[in-house]
Amino acid sequence: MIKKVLIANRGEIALRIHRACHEMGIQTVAVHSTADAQAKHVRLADESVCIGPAPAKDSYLNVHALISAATISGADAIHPGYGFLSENADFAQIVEEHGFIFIGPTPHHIRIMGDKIIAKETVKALGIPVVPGSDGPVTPQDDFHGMADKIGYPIIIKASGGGGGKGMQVVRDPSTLEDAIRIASSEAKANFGNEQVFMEKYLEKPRHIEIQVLADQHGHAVHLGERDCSLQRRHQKIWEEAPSPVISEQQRNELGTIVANACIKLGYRGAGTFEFLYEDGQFYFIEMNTRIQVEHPVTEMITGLDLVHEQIRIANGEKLGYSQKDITFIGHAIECRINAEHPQTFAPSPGIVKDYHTPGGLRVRVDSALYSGYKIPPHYDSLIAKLIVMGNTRQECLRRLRRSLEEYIIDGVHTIIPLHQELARNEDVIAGDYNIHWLEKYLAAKTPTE
Amino acid sequence: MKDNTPFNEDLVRKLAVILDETSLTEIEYEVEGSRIKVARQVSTSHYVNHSSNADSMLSGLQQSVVPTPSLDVPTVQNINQHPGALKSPMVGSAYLTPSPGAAPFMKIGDKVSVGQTLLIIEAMKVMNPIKSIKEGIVSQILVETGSPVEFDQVLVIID
Repeated sequence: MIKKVLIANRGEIALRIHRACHEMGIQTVAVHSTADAQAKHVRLADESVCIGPAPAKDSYLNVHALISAATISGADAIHPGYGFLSENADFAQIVEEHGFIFIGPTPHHIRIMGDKIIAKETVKALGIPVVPGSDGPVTPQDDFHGMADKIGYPIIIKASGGGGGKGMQVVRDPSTLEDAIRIASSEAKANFGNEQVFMEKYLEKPRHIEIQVLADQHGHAVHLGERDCSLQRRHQKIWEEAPSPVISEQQRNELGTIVANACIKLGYRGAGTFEFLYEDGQFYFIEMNTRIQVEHPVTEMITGLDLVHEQIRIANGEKLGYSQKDITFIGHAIECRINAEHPQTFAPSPGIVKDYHTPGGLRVRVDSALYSGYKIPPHYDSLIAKLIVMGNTRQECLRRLRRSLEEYIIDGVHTIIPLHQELARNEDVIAGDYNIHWLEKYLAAKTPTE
Repeated sequence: MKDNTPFNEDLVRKLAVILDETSLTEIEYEVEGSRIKVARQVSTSHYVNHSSNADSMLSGLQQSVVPTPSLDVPTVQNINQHPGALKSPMVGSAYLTPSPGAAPFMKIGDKVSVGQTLLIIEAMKVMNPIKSIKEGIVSQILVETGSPVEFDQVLVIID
């Protein structure tokens, strides 16, 4: 029975985990770097331990310090949040070897899903549709032309050990294929320490659709529907919706059932998300995230489930207690990620938050660790808040979103709230008519205002 | 103390030892008009209890220090900025003796040199000797054997 959780993360997700724990009567231990000594969740947690100086590698990525902190605080479980060590199989393994419960999947599943080639092979064998590809790594010594012809141009070369746009090369013409493989390989080596690349069919205008799953340790799994996360800048999501404006109930049930069954066959444990590219009515698996995701709140809003509660319950060895027929989807939710960045240049904007006023009202949710007087440190990523709103219909949700955005005041630093205000008024967004390239094109076409 | 009172080093040492060996934070001794006070700087607990509710689970070690921006906590500020403050480079448990029952590495009043082992911090079953970065006199020892320590926590003050 988990009684004390060490939160191995920071910012809004650390606060999120703390909240779930306290609601479940579980004590919290907030670990933090010296730069985060005044963080909101540190101030609210039952105990806190400073684990290192500001740089993440010395603090939030410092496995020794985290395990040590868990030991001296008497925690019995560790929640890794998202990012940092949440998908580090070695960390999960060390946590378990030291007798702590890792709130997440098994190290084995983290490992297989962390390698994109193995992940693809694994899910393909479980009946999940995948992007046609090389089915294995590609090197300049292989018959790469033959592989590419079989897939059909355009193709994309991707790094098997990484993501985020690095180690990727789009190839439209066979003449540039060999160079592309070499370039992608070196970029992959530089960014991930692993030069292995593979080939996939390149989809021109896909949407990013992902399906949330929950699986307990007793052979039960459910899907919680999809999220549409197509609005991305430099491969980073900034706006997510549930359900997707273009997915039908039938498609949701079909794909959801396939992935839930895959979890049962795999013996997967905890929360997970299967990510797909969707084009012309077809789904193509790209990767699985073996953790809670930033955008989980939109799923919570339309299903009524608390995903972090469920993660902890599952880690406790409890049964889900409900089956797929008990999952209902009501209404529509949108999340706007608010980054401390200039709304036009996207230059990071750390600093002191002066006036801070959050929007309120029915079905308006703010997940943020900000407070008036808080100093946003420059050492970490720029996500400072998530505004999540819900409506009975998508249009009502958008109206509520526009109203909420105009109330949200974060004074003293730049944020991308103005960008979200534009998006919430944009006719393509209002129509739900966008794909993963839409936002980049929109931003490129905008005339910067002075 | 009056100017013409000879400095009673013996007494001060005795009082300091008593302070050390008990959980007192301050002893004031007055005789014939002269008064001596020895005090231990109260450190912020490495566990900072932030609960404002009566049902908070306080352990014996915890103190209710909540460093809000507007709350002035001079003790913490002073200790952290003391030029002779030796801060912990890691998270773990402090040990003041090389082994249970052995003599401590240092005591208050000792002269220590750079590189001298002052205490051990145990982390993940590894004993890490913590060495002095300064030459001087140990004026405060802010941890006890077995107490948990966090990164940057002030362990010892060397004057």
